[in-house]
Formats: sequence, structure tokens, C-alpha cells
Amino acid sequence: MTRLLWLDYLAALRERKTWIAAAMLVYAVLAIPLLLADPPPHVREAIAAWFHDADPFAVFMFVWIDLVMNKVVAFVPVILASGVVLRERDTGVLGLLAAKPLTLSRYFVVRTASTCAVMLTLYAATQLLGAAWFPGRVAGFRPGTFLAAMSLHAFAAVFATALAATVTVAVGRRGAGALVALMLLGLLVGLALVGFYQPDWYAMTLANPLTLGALAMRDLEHLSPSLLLPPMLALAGLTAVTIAIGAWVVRKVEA
Amino acid sequence: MSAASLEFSQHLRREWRFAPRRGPLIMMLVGVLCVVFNHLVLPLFPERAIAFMRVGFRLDDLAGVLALNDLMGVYFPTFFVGLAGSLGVVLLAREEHRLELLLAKPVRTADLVAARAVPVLAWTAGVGAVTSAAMAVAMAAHAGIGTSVSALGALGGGLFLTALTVVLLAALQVAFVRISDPFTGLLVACGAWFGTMMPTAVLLYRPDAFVGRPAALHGLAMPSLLWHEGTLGWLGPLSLLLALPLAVALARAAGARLERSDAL
Repeated sequence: MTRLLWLDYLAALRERKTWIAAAMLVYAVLAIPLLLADPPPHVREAIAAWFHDADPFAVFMFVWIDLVMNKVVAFVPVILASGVVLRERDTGVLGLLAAKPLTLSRYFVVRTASTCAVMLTLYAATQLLGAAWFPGRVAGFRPGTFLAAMSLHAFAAVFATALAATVTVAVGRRGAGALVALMLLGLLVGLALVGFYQPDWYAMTLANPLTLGALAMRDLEHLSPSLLLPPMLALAGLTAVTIAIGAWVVRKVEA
Repeated sequence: MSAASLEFSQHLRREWRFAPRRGPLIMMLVGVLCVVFNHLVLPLFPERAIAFMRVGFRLDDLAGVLALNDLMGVYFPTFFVGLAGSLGVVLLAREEHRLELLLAKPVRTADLVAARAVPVLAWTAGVGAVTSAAMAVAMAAHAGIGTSVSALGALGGGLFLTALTVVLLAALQVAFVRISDPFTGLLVACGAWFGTMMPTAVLLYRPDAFVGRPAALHGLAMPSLLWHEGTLGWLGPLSLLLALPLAVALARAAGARLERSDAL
């Protein structure tokens, strides 16, 4: 299974859609400093009030997470994961796979894990490129804090990929499955930071995995393992449960 | 009526019978729920969050803020339900090795693609129109939010976005006929959708980029649909009426492009 996972990962990395997604992420890294060169006073004031931090770096982190990476997390996982198993069925390959000593549930786990790995690769490469490109271009940029905050958000990206794969096999049709996954992730992303805007709802929004991924925004000045590890563990657990549900649901798919 | 157009209309009727309906009907409900959610939840936000959107997008009052969020509730479900259907016109059929079979029918390729695309685009327009109507009803029924956006203006803004969606999806079909992987098509379409949203983000974070460029500001930023809500009252419905034949022409152009392509 490990060998199959590795080969599937390599094959997915070579696909054109992966390269187009990578090009879009590179564009985002290059464009964001331009977008944030001179934010208007009302934007600076509002973000300073929401996150109790008047540092320009907090404005950057808000925009990077909310405007860029949360949108990436809503779209790219759907594009990468919504073909898992159903593409093989629709192209007539699933019957061939059924003759191999590998159950459909295990095949789903391998395909989803390799898709999560591709998402994580794209995600990590984007943050590393950002950490190299942003110093000197983004006011007050702190690479260490940036990488620590985004390492938590990466767990949300992996969860989103597992969710997209599971939702797609649960729906059973690729187009409709991608649409439902997109709507679900769009809703989670749309509500991810609501608890910061309306503090009365903060505790309730912690049920949203995408909020857990953005929890570093609570205290960028003092990021520590005690702040980052609990949401990371929660997201890792949610990802495992989501994949397990997908592995159970996928058994209904017929070749 | 010529023989060719008669064939097309007959073929269109057949494709219409098999066009997926459940997705668009569910997305109509999703669009209406988005509008209801906005009008129930957004007024509960603190004034600072409302002011952030009001000042950032140059809106006059809460009515403007609600209408802008409603417009997103029109644009997002409408575009993506249309996209899901549009992928099935050529891209999924090609990947599943059904395209050669479809092209073997005694129908011109341009007619085939148009006949498969038109029901999808019509249902897309239906989702946008229903959500726009819900938006107009919500704006009329929601008391005490201000008067900067009328129900008619809201309807017009929603219909204008619906028209934009229909034309954009039809134009994407021209690209889809030369793409072999549906997920590459999905990515290209998402990029195009983000492209239409980018000027609105620029308005929020870099409003100085529009200084001295009033045509770009009023032509590209989504809140301009609310700044000109009086005009949108008639321009929105007219845009949708004009968008439908333009979308058919683009779908036929996509079919003609497929006919010239070697790679099925």
C-alpha cells in the first residue's frame, strides 16, 4: 500500500491540474504584497480591533489567511480530491482494480492520503515561497511567526482535502459531488473568522474546522506549542475520522 | 424555419429532457437560504464589522451591506451549479470515452454542443433569477435597514450577475472543448471566477488603484451594481435577455472549435 501511495502521489504531482494550481499559488504569493502595499485606514483599524493587534503584520496575516489561503482551501482540495474512486469508475478502470488484492475501502484510503499529500506539498511550497518573498515587501513580516501560524492552517487544508474526497464518494457523482464539497467548504470558509468579528459567537465557531485552522490569529505575538498543538491534534483527528467515513461509504460504489 | 434549425430545436428538446434538474433545484434553495441567512445573521454583527464593509465598499447603509452579501449569494451558487453542469457537456463525456459516440450522431458538432449546453445554461439562469427574486423580496420586507438599495435595484443587480454567469460559462465552454482533463477545466473556471472577484478585493484593500480610473471602478467592482441600482432596475433584466442568445452563440462557437479539433 505504501508503494501504491507513493506512486499515486508522484503521478498526481505530474498532472497538469497540479501545475496549474501551483501557478495560481505562485501568483497569489507574488501579488499579495502589491495588494497590501497601502491598506486604507478603515481596514487597518478594523483588523487591529478584531485581533487586538495594531501591528501591520496582523493585517497581512488576516488577508493571507482570509483572502488567500482560506479560498485556496475551499477550491483546490475539491479540484484535487473530487475524482477519487469515481473517476476510476467512470473511466471503466474500477472493474480492473476490483480484481486486485486490494479492497475498495483501502484503495480509497490510499487515493485520499496521496491527494492529501499533494495538497500538503502545494501548501507547504507556497508558504516557503512566501517566507522567502515577503521579507522586505510586507511591513513587519516575521517569517518564524508566519510559518508557525500557517503550519496550523495546513492541517485545515489537509482536512478539507479529506472532506472533499469523502463528500464526493458519498454523493456518488463527480460533478454533483464536487459542487456539494465546494458548497460545504465555502460555508466553512465563509464562517471561519466570524467568531473574531462577533466575540459572542467565538466559542460556537470552534466547532468549525476552518476556524481551528485560523486560531493562530488569536495571539500572533505569542504563538506557542500550547496554542498551536491542540487545534492541530483536533484537525488531525477530524481528518482521520473523515477518511474513515469515506472508506466506509465508498463500499457502496459499484464498478 | 430552416431544416438545420428544425434539427437543432428537435435535438435541443431531447437534450432538455435529460438535463439534470435536481442540482439546480437544490441550488435554488441554497441561494434562497443564503439570502435568508444574510438578513437574519448580518444585522447581529457589531457595528464595526458592518462599517468595515460599508466604508470599504462605499455603501450608504445596512441595506447596501446586505444587498452586497446577497449578490454573493446569487453569484456563488449560480456560477458553480452552472459549472458542474457545463463540465458534463463535453469534458466528462470525453474522459468517459462517450464523446466519439455522441459525435457519431447525425447532428452537426456545433448543434450538438449548443443543444447540450443550452439546458445547463437555462437552468443556471433559473437559479440566478430565483435567488435574485428572493433577494428583492428580502430587501423589500426587511424594515429599518436603510433605503440605499430598492427591491427593483436588488433584482436588477442579481439578474445582471446571472447574465454575467451565463455568458462566462458559455465562454468557458469554448476553452473546455480543447481540454482533456475535467479537473483542469474546473481549475481554469475557478480561476476565471476569481478573476471577476479580484477587482472587488482590490477596492477593499487598495482603493487607490482605482484613482483616476472611474471606468474600471464602475465597470469591474461588484459594489458598483449597488451604486447604480436605479440603472440596474432595467439594465439587469435586459442583460439577462441579451445574455441568452449570446450564450447560445458562444456554445455553437465551442462546437465549431471542437469540430476543427483533432483530439476528441
